[in-house]
Amino acid sequence: MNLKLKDTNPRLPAWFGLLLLALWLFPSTASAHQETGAVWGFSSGFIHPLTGLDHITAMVAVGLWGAFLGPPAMWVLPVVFPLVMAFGGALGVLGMPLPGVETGIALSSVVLGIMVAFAVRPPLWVAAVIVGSFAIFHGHAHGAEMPKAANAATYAIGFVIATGLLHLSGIALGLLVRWSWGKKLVRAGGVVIAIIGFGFLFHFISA
Amino acid sequence: MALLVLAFPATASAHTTVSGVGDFFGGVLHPLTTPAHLLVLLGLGLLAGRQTPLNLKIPLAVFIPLSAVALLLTTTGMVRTVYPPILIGISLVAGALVALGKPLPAKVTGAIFAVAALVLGLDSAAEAGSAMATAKTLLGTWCGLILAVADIAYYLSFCTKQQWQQVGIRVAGSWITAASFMILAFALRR
Repeated sequence: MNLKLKDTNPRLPAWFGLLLLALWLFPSTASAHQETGAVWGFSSGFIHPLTGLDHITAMVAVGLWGAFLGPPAMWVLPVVFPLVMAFGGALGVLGMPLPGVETGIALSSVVLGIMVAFAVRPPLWVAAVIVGSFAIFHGHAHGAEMPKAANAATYAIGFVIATGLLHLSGIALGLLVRWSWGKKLVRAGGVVIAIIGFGFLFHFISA
Repeated sequence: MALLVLAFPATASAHTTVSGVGDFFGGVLHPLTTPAHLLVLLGLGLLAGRQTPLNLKIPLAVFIPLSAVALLLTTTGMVRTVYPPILIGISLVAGALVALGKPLPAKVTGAIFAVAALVLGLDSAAEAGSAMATAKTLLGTWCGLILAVADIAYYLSFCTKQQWQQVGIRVAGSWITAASFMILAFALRR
């Protein structure tokens, strides 16, 4: 008699993970009667990158460019960026001045948008250096602008996660390059990002 | 795990007790409601879970007894909290190793788990109370620590076959490192 054991390994469906993430992203369900503390710190940190068009465009551009360059850049860039961004954030938290933060942030959209628009394919280390250089400015802005009442730990977790999710959204859009129309769309997206960056750079748009 | 955290929102802050759930479950929730501890546990879980095949023997063989010893030491009053940069340094290292994606020797993983167990345990002193309450809280904390890291590692082991999953794990490791770096800066600022 051949007994075949049923596979009893429990597997969580993918939607479960998304549900957990969604619940974590909606702190209004978990902010009972207080506007300070860990939950508010997380929501404050999470929202911070999302309230600045300059941050959003640059983060999405990193994902777009990574997807455009393909593996391993597709994951190297989203790994390098938060690490270097945290360094910049540490500088901001410690009150160390960094000249030209807003210019650097605006320039990041311009440069990264141009990279995508013109389908520039530098060596991986060059792409990583470019992305890392701009990450410092973004991080410094997040660290320096942390609300004093926010819980520092959850604020940091919040804005790192938000930044990463923006990268992922850029990667998801960037995967359209597998189609010829998708390539044009992604490169057009790069043009839009670069234009927005110019707008910030010359103060036609304010953050 | 996140649902449990969200179910007790008023207590999602460092080193506060969870009111209304009893001493034991308050202890179970303590590591999950302390952001720095949660980062360490996530880092450890990713470190152990990403290795194929999954091998939790050595990590848990050191983590379980050492965390128990550390928690017991907190009752002596010699250590109330651990210097924050030490705790954050562990999550930073764990996240960085995950982001690098290189396989680690079992002894190195064991060493990291050993240090983490001691630090987490020493940083989880129970609030002052009766001996029975303290014992229940510490027992709950011990269970919470073990369950958290074991669960993360176990369920993560199902997500290591596809390349995109492995990339996602490395990205998560970089997030943990980045967040830890920021928290370290906050801690040093004070």
